[in-house]
Amino acid sequence: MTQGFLSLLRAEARTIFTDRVIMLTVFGGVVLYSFLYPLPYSRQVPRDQRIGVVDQDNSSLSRKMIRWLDATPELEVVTTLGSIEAAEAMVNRRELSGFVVIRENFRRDILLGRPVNLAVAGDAAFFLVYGAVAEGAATVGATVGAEIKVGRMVIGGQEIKAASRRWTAFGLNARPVFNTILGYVFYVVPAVFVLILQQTLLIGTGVQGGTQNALRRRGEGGYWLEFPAWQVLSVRTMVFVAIYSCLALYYFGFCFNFYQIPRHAVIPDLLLLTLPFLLAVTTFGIALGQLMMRRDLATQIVLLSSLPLVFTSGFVWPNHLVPWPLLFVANFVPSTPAIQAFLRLNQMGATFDQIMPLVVQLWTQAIVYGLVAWWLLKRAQRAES
Amino acid sequence: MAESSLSSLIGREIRSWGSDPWQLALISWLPLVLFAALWWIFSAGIVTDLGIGVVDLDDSRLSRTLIRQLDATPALRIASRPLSVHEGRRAMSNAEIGALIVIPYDFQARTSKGLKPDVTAFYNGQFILIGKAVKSALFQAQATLAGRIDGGLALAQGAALPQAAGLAVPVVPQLTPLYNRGMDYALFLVPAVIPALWQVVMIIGMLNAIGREHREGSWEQWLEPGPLKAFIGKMLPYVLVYWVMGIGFLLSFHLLGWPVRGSWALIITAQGLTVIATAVMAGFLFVLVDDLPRSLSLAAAYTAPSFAFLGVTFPASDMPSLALFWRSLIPVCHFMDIQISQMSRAADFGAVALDFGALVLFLVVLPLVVLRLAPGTEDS
Repeated sequence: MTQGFLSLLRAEARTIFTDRVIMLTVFGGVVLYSFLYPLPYSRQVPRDQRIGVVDQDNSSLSRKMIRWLDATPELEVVTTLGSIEAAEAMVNRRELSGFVVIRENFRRDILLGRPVNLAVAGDAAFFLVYGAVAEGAATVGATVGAEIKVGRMVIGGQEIKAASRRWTAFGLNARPVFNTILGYVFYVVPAVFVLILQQTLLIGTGVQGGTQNALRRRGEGGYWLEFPAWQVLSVRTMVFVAIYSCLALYYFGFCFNFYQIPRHAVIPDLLLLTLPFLLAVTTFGIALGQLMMRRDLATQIVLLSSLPLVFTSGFVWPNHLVPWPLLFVANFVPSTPAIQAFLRLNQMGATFDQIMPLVVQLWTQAIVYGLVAWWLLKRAQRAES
Repeated sequence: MAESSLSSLIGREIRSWGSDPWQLALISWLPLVLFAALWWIFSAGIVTDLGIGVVDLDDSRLSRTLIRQLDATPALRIASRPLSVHEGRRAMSNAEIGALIVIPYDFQARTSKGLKPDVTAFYNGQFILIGKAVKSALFQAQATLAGRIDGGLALAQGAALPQAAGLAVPVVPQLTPLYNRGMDYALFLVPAVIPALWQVVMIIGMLNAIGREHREGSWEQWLEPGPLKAFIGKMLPYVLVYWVMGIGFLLSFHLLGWPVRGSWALIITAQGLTVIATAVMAGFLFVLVDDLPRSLSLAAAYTAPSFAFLGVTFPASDMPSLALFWRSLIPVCHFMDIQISQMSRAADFGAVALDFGALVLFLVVLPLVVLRLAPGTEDS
């Protein structure tokens, strides 16, 4: 029995570690993506968006405001323009991310306590760019307001009524939590890493299944047809889960540390989540692999599924707005509950009992896909004998 | 020889589709289903009814008015009324609510005294896009209600003058989101996600086409007319199919109400160049390893992260130079710059001439592909 087990383990490990496609995807892919994915986002937030100012007021205050706009971390004033049309043309060519218009009599109206608007236009084809322009301009708007107090007018004998008309009854102090700097690495990487682990693991198991199916159809046998199906399934699962436990440690440990991604989960909780996740993905992948008749199909299917899976996992777009049939399908894939569970546990500080429904979903997937994989392996063996 | 004419090569490729349902799916219904699914995900367009929690420590007429105002904001919905900030924070950790609003003690009393109390809102920064939508909806609700409370009232009720004198003159930014007035997420993301997936579909379909010759042992027969001719004959049907697919999604953007404000001709030309560049890169990835499964692994590394490099969600201008270098090697990234310049706005050709140049430049890889395909250099 142990003799058989060991030879099965050896055979299984040999097919995995000598398959160049599996090695290239599993180790090469995981390591490459750990650098490539965070690379475009490494500056975390867009800074110094190039804006223009249309200064129709040309006062001491408007010139001061241009300096303040330039001083915000979000903005960099690169030019002053004569007309709104000229500014728009530059945004059209993407030479500017937006522009601010300081209207005629801006300073005079402010001193008179009249309602003043600061016209701001930003390139909303890019929400992050537009947000930065809006944020920077709002900061300067508030700075101007704070600088020129109503008090001056009141003391100077101006009309109180006009001053108080623009007075806000209460303020709003909005603060982001969890990802307090709204950094893009902190946003994308913790979620996408879960997906990368899944996708490369699915390719690994899928390529192995497809390869063995292709061999079987050519009439070539192998250890996977000789050992009982449940043994093949358990040993294969063990090997892949062992490999991926190391890769998961590399991602959630080394990489999170390297990118300074905040971590809230304690290690035992993280392990208790990683285990059903890896089991569910491995059994899902072994089952899928049994359906692949060719060695190259798994990579193709997995590659095509990545974008839809990212956008139905609920961290880019709220799940309650995604049409239910899409969510229904997505929930059969382990990454859908897993991304939510990892984000809540590790990024947002949820307790393990809070994410229990997601953990149960992953265990259910692991068991169901395990049974399906076992049945499919058995069926292949029957077809052989 | 009629056998080796370009048209017979094309015919040979097209006939192969009949016995390969997967390949047929990749050039027809499968990408269309995926494109439609991606659009469907974002079809709601704007964030609505996002659940938030409110902790009302004041429990006054004014605080209840504020809660009603928040609930009436289309983007928001009061999902829970936690009894404490701690309890609310717990709900936020489990993504049950997207924001937690805390109305302070004496909110009404301090408002009527003109003390301008602050309502605190914690929003989920982990889901940045959703968080930003929540934040702007919160400010909108605050502005509406705060504007309704007459400022003069406070003074009339006897707020001391020095307090009023300390108030700031608010300079209200009047914001214009150019090119996407309604801040529609579907318009923001779908025209970028679909080309990114198009890139993936193209490279897979083209690699399959080359790999089939290996699998079916017809490699020598395919290359008989000469490597250049054989490669062009094989790729031409895919170039045409995927080009038509590109024109198709562009037309559907138009039908969805996302018009092309600039030049259709420029976008469609850019699509043609993108497809050709992809065909050359597919050939390159294949000859690099001479094996379909491994070339697909390379294609995965090459195209799977292309959405991240497109520069739509995170602007290219803020990417480090190494990322920009990688970005410049992906055809669809150049296409995206061209599409944006012509779809949302009507920029002149000069603004995207470099991207056109880059797409044409991919052709320099073609001689390498042809050299490696030439008989005698096949090492396996």
